Amino acid sequence: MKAQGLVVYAVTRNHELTSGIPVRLITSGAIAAVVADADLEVLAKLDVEPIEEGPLAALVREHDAVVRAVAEHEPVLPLRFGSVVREDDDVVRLLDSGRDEMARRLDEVEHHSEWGVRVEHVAPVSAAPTEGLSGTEYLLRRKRELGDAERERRVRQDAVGDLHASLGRHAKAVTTGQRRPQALLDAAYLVPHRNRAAFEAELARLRTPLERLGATVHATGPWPPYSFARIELAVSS
Amino acid sequence: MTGPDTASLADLLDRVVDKGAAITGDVVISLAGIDLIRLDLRLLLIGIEDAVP
Repeated sequence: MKAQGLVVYAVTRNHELTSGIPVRLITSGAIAAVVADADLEVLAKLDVEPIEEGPLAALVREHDAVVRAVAEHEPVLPLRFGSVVREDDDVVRLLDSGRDEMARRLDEVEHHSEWGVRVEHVAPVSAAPTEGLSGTEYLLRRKRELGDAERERRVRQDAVGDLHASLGRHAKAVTTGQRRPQALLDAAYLVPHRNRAAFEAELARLRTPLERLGATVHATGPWPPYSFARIELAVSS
Repeated sequence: MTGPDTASLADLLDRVVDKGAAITGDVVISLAGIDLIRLDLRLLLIGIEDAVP
């Protein structure tokens, strides 16, 4: 017999699940977990390599698709990919243990989506030839280049600060991380649906000056609120 | 007006694998592969960014 487990995709409100997605609900009072039976063999054999068309990528996309399908109708707290438990009773205990907090958090994210914005800058290598320059000339030029770079860095920093503050005004919550070394900003915004147009307009307006300063602005969304569901659900058997 | 950029696999992994609510405790089935992915995500993200523009 195959080793079976239960993949938990998200916590949501207790509701009628839309047909068409291959998952079921385990409920506890007003809240519910979205789960699917899974073959543990498949999950255990996943390769670490995140190849675009590989099995890991496919499963991660599927996880996101399930979360999004539920989020179309009800607020969701997405669970991290790879949240697997043994049986239904484990999920019931999980829901029972944090029911009030989860219900409160569902209220918070209802009618909101997450947007991600990352700003990066990679310093260009000086292109001017150094041949034929005297030592003094070289040092003077180098000093000028460094001064220019420092001025540009400050201007960029201000523009990033401006972007972040302006986007934050359209958001209910904001989180920032610094996971990539060259990132000037790596932020997530929890944006009310009614603010979406204003948020996008602000983003379009403020990314242009940054791009003119040589930075790249990478914006993605709308996402289910992955970055705003960072809770730990401690469950013991 | 420009819309959002296309989400890459790196963006997806960044959110789906690393963020979101986590279950802890002895009911969790630990899957070595997924634990490794999470552990290496920082390196992976930088790696894929280079490999997949």
